Amino acid sequence: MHAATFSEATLEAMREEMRRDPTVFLMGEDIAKQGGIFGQFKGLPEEFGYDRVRDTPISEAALVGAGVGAALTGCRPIVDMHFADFITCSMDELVNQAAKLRAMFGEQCVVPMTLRAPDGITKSAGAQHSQALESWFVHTPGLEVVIPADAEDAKGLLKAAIRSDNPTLYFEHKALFPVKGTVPDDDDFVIPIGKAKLARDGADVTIVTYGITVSRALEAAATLETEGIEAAVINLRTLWPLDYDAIADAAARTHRIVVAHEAVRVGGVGAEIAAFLGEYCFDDLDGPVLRLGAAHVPVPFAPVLQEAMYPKAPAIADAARRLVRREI
Amino acid sequence: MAKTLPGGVDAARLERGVALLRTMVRIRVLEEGIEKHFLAGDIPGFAHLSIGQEAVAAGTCANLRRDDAIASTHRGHGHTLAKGTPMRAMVAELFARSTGVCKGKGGSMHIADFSVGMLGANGVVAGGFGLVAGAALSAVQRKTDQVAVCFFGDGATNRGPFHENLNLCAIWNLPAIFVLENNRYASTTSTAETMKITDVARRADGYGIPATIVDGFDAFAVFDALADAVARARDGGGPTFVECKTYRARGHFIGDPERYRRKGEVEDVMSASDPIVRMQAMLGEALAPDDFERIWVEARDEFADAVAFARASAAPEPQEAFFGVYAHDREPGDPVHRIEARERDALLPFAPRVGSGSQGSGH
Amino acid sequence: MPVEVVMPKLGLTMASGTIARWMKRPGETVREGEPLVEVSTDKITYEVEAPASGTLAHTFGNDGDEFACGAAIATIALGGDDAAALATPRPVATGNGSPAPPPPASARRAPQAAPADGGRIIASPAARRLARERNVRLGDVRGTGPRGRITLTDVHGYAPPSESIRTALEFPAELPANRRPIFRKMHAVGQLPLAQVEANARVDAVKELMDVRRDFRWTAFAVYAAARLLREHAGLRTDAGTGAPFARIGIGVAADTPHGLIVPVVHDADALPLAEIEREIIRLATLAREGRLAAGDVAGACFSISNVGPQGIDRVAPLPDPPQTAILGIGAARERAAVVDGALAIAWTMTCVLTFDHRFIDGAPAARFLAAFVAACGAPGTLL
Repeated sequence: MHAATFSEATLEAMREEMRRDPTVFLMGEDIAKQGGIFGQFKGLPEEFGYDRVRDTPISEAALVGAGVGAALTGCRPIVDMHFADFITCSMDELVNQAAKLRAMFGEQCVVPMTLRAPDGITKSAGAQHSQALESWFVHTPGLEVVIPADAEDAKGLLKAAIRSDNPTLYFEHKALFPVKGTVPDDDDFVIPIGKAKLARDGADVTIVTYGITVSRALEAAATLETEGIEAAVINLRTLWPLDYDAIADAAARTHRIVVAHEAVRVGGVGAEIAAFLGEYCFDDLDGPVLRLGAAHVPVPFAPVLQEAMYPKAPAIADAARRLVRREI
Repeated sequence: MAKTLPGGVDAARLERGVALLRTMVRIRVLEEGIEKHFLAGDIPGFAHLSIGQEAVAAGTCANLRRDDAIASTHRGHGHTLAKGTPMRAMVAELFARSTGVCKGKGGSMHIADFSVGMLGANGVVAGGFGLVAGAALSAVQRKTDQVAVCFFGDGATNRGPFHENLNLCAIWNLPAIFVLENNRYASTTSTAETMKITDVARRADGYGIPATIVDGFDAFAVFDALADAVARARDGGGPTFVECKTYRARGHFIGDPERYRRKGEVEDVMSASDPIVRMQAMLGEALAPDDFERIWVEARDEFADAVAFARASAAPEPQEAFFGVYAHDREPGDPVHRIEARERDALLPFAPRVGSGSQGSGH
Repeated sequence: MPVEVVMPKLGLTMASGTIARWMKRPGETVREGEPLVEVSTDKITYEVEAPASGTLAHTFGNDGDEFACGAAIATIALGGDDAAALATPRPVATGNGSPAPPPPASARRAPQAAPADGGRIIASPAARRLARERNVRLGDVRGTGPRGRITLTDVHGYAPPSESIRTALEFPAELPANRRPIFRKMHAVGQLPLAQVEANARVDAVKELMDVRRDFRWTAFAVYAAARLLREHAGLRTDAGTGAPFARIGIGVAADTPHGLIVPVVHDADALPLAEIEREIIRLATLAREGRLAAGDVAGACFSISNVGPQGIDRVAPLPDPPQTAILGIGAARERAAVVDGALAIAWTMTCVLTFDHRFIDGAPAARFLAAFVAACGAPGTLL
């Protein structure tokens, strides 16, 4: 194992995969000369050349469309969206093309494209630079969605996404980039897509979560431990295909579930999880499945407003506490 | 207006002309046959015919290798056939059979054949630009001399991806060729209503891409223009824009009431410009009437055989709806497989029963 | 304005009381001073009188429910109050605001079908499933969750937990399947408050009788004696399920077979002659060894006997077989040193251990039963 920030971990992943497979190349805005606005592409053009690490004009539709076309014809492109919010400028290319070509064409092709999409609420970036849109793409058949919570996830999931033969969205929370962590030394370290990780074990309640909310849930669990409540925390890692087995096991073990994410609560991934629990794990539940997520509003600019509208550790702890105490 | 080539026709020209003619006749027979079978209820969904535009498909694809890529529009039967897909596989696909080139999962608007580099008809207007830019970029990355051709209509040039992708191909000097079938109508709107300019090729100027305008009813003219474009692309000379002035002899889709054009306009244009008649005239006496007739007979036989094949083929199994979406999703160990299997088991008991051996289509 | 009836504080140390029996039902007229409900603590049972005259509007809680002292257990509508309007469901809870502790394990099941507040029983899905598995009627369980919801802890608190709240009972990997029922049963028995009384019985007289008649052996005698004594000592044949004595006296006789421990039952043993008991024991043991016992042969016992004498072992302290609440273990009868009339002598003795469930049986009645058994061994003629 060695120390690395989240950002460095993604850089290691790309470097290793580009060395391993000459068909892997990168394109996006401000990645080659600037090295990415979070430094996550630093040094790559120097090693692999500006043909394999390409700056594009501000043309998201062409960026993603060309990514799909290259993926169809023998390459493994990594397309960087700059901010996940700009996926909206390439929705046809992602939803109508990338997600559907294999299915429509009767499995004649694969679309092994990876889309890096920095997302999430941070630093008063405002409504158009703060979104978490993963549930849109969980809802779109044909796409894979992965979402790392720490440096180890960042590396293992990005390598998995690049190696995957499916179009994979890689949502990386902007506030995680500088966070330090540890990653394995093995350059073949890949986290399997579709498997959740038990980040913390516990018998009283399970917090099912992903991305940056994992660290908030672990903080909540530490608080709860001082109160004699043992909370398990599941880091989903992949949102599609969702690890339904891990979720069902949690219900069978602790009978009390809190689902938490930073994305909007209404129609979020938490809603799919809660519905699944109600439908397939009904008899395991000792209380309602609680969901925490951002309010159904565009993310406001003023810091005090921004901080008021999404769940952090105290809210997660409170939900778990009330569920265990049977106050809800 | 029919025209005989001065000084007769040389052997190479004749051979090329006959080949182009054969492709155009096969496309015509296919399209007329699809029209008939669609109206008879054999073909579900929508179908968009390219009658009148055969010369563009034929002239373009005659320049391409099997490993060159093309992307098409919703009006893609001609491109698909010209690129090399067997008629049987095409008709079975339109008839929604499991033996169709897309296993019955794409239909007319999403017909594709990756074995001949056909990256698909596209249900989204302007959907092909990104795919072709990407295919061209892929050739550069993999250091091959493959080229990629995008077929599109005048309507697509008003969409964002047209502009973004032309610009990208220009600045990166990609081996992409943009073949515009300017058939004067985008769905129900004529070009006169939807753009200020008459020659769409001028838009290529805005991106620094060399452009030519050709008579899209003249298969030789199309052929020659594309020969230049393909050579430029293979030599690393970057993209070319070829505007083919042509005409859509049928409605936007089969069943289109065509309220947007004067009755008789189609008659007028086709009687003057039918590309098949044109080619026949250009070849003149070099092509014997019997040989001409034989081309039609063979095409019709080919189509009849394709229909029989389609009719004898089975419809896809209902549970096929649940798989073939993700790579490896048919493998029992794959995480998607388990989820789709559960969805199938949850939903299939409620699916309407399909009688075995039935046509399975029509409305 | 309706009057509340509260759980009285009947002693300095009393913190809560249990509804033992409602003597009036909602809708009935009550007079001030009239007995309304029997309430029990761990020491006494007490009749609570109606504090006012009127119509009993509402009773909270079922028989067996526990309430903190001072908590409302009923309301009486006075003249002018609309009793029907008052009879709306209220969450079953203690009156002092904090969630009540789960009812003690001794809370008895009442034979009523619906909860006092009428309508649907609110219970979490997991609680419903556990109640189904335990054969617990949800109507008998008091819910302490939000809005009176019955939750897992409530069902766990109601019946003796056979598994911890946290982990399901896991069988060891190599455990043969046929040992699972006994594994599960013993796991449950392990939670019970069991106690023992023991005696060394002088059995010379039984031995003499045995040698003369030659038509019975030790186990049969023990069954015979215990069965007849259980007529009078009814507490030793309490049914843990109902809390009342079993009506019929079947005695389970532990048998060791190639298939493991099986306990066939000698039905109505108090009515059978000694020789017939002996024959019955032999018949059942044969069937047991051959694996041919019917369901009726292993059900219906109110008390059991385990004899390790045939293995030459002196003493056994067996565990009761729920819902039986007592079991007698007898060891090998043989000549041993004894004190007779103040001097060392050799006498036939047999060690008897009576294990009993202290929730239902206290030490004194157990001791009295064992003493009577020992007396019967000393003078078998008194029984015959």
